[in-house]
Amino acid sequence: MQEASGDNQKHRLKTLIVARSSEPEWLNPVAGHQHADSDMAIFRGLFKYNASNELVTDMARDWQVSVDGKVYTINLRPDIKWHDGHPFTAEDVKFTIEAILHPKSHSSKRKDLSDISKIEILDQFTVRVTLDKPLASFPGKLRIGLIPKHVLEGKDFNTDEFNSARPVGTGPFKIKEYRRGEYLVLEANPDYYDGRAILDQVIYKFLPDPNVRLVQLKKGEVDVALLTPKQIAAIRPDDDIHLEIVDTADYLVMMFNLRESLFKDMRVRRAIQYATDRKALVQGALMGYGYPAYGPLQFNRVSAPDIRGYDNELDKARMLLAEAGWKAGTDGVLVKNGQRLLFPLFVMANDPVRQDLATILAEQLGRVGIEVSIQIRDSSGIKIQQFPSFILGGGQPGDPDDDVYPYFSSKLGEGGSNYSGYRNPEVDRLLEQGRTSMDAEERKGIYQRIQRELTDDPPYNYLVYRKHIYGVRKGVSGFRHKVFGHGTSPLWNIEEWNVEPER
Amino acid sequence: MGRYILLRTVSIILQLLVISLLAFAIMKMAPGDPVASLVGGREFMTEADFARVAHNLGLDQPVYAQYIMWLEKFLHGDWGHSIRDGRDVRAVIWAGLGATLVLGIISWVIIAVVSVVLGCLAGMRAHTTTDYAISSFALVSFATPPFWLGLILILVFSVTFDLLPSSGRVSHGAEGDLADYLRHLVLPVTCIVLTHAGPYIRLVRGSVRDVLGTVLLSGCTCTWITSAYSGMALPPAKCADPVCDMGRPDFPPAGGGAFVVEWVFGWPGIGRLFLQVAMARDYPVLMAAVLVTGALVIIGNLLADACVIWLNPKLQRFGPGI
Repeated sequence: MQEASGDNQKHRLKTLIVARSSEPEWLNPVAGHQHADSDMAIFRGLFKYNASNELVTDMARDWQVSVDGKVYTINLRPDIKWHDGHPFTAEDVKFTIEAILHPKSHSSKRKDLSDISKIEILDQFTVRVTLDKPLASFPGKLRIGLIPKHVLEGKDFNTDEFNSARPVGTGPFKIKEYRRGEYLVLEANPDYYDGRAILDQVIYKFLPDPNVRLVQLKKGEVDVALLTPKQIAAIRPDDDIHLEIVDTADYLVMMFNLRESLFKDMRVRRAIQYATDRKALVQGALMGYGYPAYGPLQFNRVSAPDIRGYDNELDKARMLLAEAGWKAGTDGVLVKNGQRLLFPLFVMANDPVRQDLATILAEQLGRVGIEVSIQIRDSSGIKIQQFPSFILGGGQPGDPDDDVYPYFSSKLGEGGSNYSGYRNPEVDRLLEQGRTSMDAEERKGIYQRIQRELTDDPPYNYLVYRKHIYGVRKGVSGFRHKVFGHGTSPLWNIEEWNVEPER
Repeated sequence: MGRYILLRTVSIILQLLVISLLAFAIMKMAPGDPVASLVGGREFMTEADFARVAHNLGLDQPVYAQYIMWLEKFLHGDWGHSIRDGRDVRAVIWAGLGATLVLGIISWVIIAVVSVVLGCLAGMRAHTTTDYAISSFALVSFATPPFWLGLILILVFSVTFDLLPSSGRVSHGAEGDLADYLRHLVLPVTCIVLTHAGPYIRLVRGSVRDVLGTVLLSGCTCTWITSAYSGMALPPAKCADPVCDMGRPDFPPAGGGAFVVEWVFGWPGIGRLFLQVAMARDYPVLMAAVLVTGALVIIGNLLADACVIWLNPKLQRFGPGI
């Protein structure tokens, strides 16, 4: 209602107010770590994912790749202007990529572009990028938001005001006002290259607490908010809120740390897979809003349709444990050489769903004589590689390489994202093959084999895929379903959203 | 007097140095990695990249060298840039400090008024129903956790009755609107007052009881008029001592309680900033926040000392009270 008074003076601007759980630390898409949200509004990249998660051109007009998969020639759309009116050219593409690869760059996207050996400007609207080795998922990496050379050249891109107060992009919205810690106001860019957005204004409110988000949604102080499964019961028919429940590639797993001798025994890992009742996890921790998970890539376009792992067969779990030498102890917990079958399961403190999941899982494993002690940790102080087991979450619906290579390739060394310390020569070989092959059908076959291999020799005990649940107020339109990923914004198609003027 | 001021100044500088040293040491000992919070976790970088970023930020130096480097820059007025978001630390701190002082000073004034009025009332009418009611309120106030009361206040006044905004400092589109600003202040101030007034009420009540029991008044017939007189005139001066003393750690109400209140109500002050940057291990901002809050507590102490001496000049001879 306070918002209404402001709107009156501005001739009823079409304003959408969105609750965000976290604030973007950087508005600059090539600085620090990026959340998926507001960048699609302010900044755009050469490519994007469409409504069926296929990679399509965005600021690029078309592109060719050489037969050896190493040289990409990209033609740019010539009709694009930066928010300050300057024309967008190949210089900006080169500048952005070089900024990310600069030794002083702290961008989390650097790893994605590290295979680039050369960037050349062929003419004003054509760039040629040469890679050290072929990388099939490379165009997908160029979804990264581009930054303007004429604004940032010669500046310290780690500390410049561009990052926090004065971003200049090419997207459908440009910055109007930013009150850090409170809200970010964007206004429509009239010169947006795909046509002006329908909305006049988008306001992001930063509300870390899920209860506060629900309260503001019910009061009409925000129009769109992410909800937890348990909050759905609090939505009443007269609240004028409808729910959008989206399938996702966003999984939750129990990581096996393969540096632990207990998990080096594949029989123990399989027994744990068998002892897990995934349907019960979906019901108990997600209130039914999710699916049992049997492996990675299950919601990817390349996924094998019949993928199904080891699930809720207690007899088989007991048999495998007995085979591995574990015998019943006095209190029901299995024992081997005087050691109890016990391990700590670490969970991050900021996610109640993960904690529920861990609690139920511990109970389930208890049925076959495995004792799990749950340890809750603050997320900022952790090194996942040091935990014997851990509830991990993630998963993207885009190129399959993004979703498996960083986590299961043993080529990335100890400290990186291969948290499990997974080392499987067959998987390593397939992963390399998958990213270097340029044939879509062949790649599909490769990733289906990887899927099976990762179920049989599991780095993770796959638990559930979540559904994402959004509450949207009446009169708001534009929500478009597709398979979301971990961190996908419901505003991925922000230029199509609309609000009814009389609300 | 000159010597007193000198001693006091030296002691403040020493205190701040010790605070900064301790804060730095504790931060470095705590687990967690600012680089991880900068790039969003280790999965976003290779080990080599991680080391490169740590080097760029000077985090690969020995801890004592990092401290000396930080101190040198800090003394030259260079507070550095946030690791988490690259902003100028000084600007970040000032913005937060302003919001905190508004919330803190208003709350503190109300706490002072409420506790003197209720404390005097309870002291003058000791062991009556009024006293029991006020004292019970004080005890409950003492025992109520601010985060819990904050949520209850939001639930009642914001959600159920829809009277007041639940978070933030100003509504969008209402910048510069004083009424809107004050409406946003109501709940957090109420929360701080209700959870912090208790001990002061008890203190004032105790002092009033002491004063009423002294020789000064023992000759009088204790009528309503004399007790009213002593209640109004004498005790506020006399009992200000313990209140000033008690106010030290709480003024500015930058104690843990007010930090939590800022968090619950989304008040963009230094308390909320503190919690955010502590979680992100954002050393430059955290150090500046520690020092500024430290300085505030010390200034609060000085003011309290000055008040005590002003109200009761006899105390002056006890020296600088380091």
